[in-house]
Amino acid sequence: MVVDSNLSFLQHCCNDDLKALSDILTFDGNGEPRMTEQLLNTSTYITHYPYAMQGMWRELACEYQKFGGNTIANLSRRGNGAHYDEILSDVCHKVGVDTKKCMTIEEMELSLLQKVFSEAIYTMNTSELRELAKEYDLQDKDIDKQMLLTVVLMSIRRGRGCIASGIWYVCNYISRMLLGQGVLFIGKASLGRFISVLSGPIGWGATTAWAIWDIASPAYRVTIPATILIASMHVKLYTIRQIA
Amino acid sequence: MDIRQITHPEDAKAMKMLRRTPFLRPIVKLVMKEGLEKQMLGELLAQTMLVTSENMPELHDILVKTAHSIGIKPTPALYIYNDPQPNAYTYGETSTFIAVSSGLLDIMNNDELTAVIAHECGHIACHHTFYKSLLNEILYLGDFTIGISFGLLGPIELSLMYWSRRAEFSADRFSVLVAGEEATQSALLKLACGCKNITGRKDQLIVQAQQYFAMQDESTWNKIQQNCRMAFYSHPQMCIRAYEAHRWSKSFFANKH
Repeated sequence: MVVDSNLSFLQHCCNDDLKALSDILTFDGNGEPRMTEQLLNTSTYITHYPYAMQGMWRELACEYQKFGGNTIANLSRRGNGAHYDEILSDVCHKVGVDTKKCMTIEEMELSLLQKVFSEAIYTMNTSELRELAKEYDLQDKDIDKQMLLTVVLMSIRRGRGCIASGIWYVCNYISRMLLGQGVLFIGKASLGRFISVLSGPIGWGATTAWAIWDIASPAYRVTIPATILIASMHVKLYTIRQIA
Repeated sequence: MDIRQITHPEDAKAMKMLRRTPFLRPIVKLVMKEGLEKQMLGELLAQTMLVTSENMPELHDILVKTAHSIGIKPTPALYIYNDPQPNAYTYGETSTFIAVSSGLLDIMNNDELTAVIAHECGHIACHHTFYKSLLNEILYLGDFTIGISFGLLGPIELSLMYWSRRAEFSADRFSVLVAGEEATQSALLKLACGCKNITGRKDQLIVQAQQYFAMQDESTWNKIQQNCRMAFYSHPQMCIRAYEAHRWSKSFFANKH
C-alpha cells in the first residue's frame, strides 16, 4: 500500500469529511455498496467507521487512487492506484476545466472548485443562499447568485481566513450534494460503440477491446465526486491553517 | 435495526446483482408462493412439531423476543423435526418459518439457541430465503437430471454458492447482535463438534481460524486446495464464521445495538 504524499493532508481532515469521502468511495447513490469497492470488508474499516476515520486515511487514499487508475495499469503498479495529480488532472479534463501542465495541484484544485461552486450556487434554493450570505455577512436584500458566486470565488482565491466559514458552508453543501445525488458530469461516449457494432468483425474486435479498456478505465462516477470533495477538504484545511 | 448496516458487504453486492437480474424476482416469487413454500409448510405440518407457548414455552419465548428485537413481523413459525444431527434452517418469503432439529435442542443452552434463532431470523430479515430457493432448485435439478443442470448452470451455481457463504456471515452478525459474541462462538463450537459439554475457551474456533489461515499461507498450493474444497460449500467453514463474527463484533454497529 503506497500512499501518494500529496494526499497525506487527509490525516489532518475532520472525521465528517473523511466519512463523506469513505461513503462516496464505498456506496452508490442508492446507499448500496459499490461492486468494485475493496474497503468495506477490511478490518480497518470495520473498526474505524464511522467515528475514528482519521485512523484509516491511508486506506481511503489508496482506495481513491485505485478508483482513479486504470485497472490494467494498477496491476502493473503492483496493485497501487494512480497519483493524485494525475487523477485531479483527469477529473478537471472530464468536467471541462482548463488545466495547463505547469499548474500546481493547488491551482488545479482551485480551478476545479470554482467550476463546481458555480454549479452549486446555481442549484441552491433561497434559504440555502440566505444561509451562505449570512456566512459572508451580507444583508438579506443583497442576495444575488452572481454576486455570491463572485464573493465565494474571491474568497477561495485569496484564501482569506475571515470568511472561512463561508467556504466551509459551500464545501459542506457540495459534500451533501455529492452524497445525495451522485454526480453531475458524466461522459456521454457510448454512441460511437453502437455504430461500430454495425461495421462487421473488425468493428466487433475493436469494440471488444474498447469495451475492455473502458471497463478497466478510471471510475469517473466515483473519482469525480471524490476528487471534488478532496479538493474542498484541502481548501478547508488550508483556511484553518491560515486562521491558526 | 438497520439491515444495511449489518449485512456483510459481499452479501449486499450479490443481493444487488440478483435484484437487478430481469424477471428473476417475479419468477422466484411465483414459484415460492404457489409451490415451494406450500410444499415445505405441508411437510413440516405433517411430519414435525409446531412450537407453541404451551408445548415449549421457553423456546417459544426465545423466538418471540428474538424476532421482535430484529424487527420481523409477523413472528415466524418454529418447528422441531426429529434428527440427531444439530441443524436449523428457515424458509419462506410470504409466510416464513424456522425449523430446528431435535439434536440441536439437545446440545444447546438457551443463549446458544437464541444465537441460532437470531441467525435464522437474520436470513429472513435480509430476504436470503428468496434467492436461496433458486440455488436449491438448481441443486435439486442436478440430482434429478444426473448432473446435467450442473453442467449447464455450473458458473451460476458456483456464484450462488459464493453468495450463500457470504449470506451466512450476515446472518451470524444478527446472532452477535441479539445473543452476544460469547453465545455465538459457543453455538458455533457446538455445531462444529456436536458435543454438549465443552469446557475451556468458548472462542476456540477463532484460534483454529488463525491456525487455518497460517496453514493456507504456507503455500499457494495449500490455498488453491482449500479454495477448491470450499467452492461447493453452501456455508463457510465453522472457524471462518467464528473469525468473521469476532471481527465484526468490534465494529461500531455491533456495539450500537
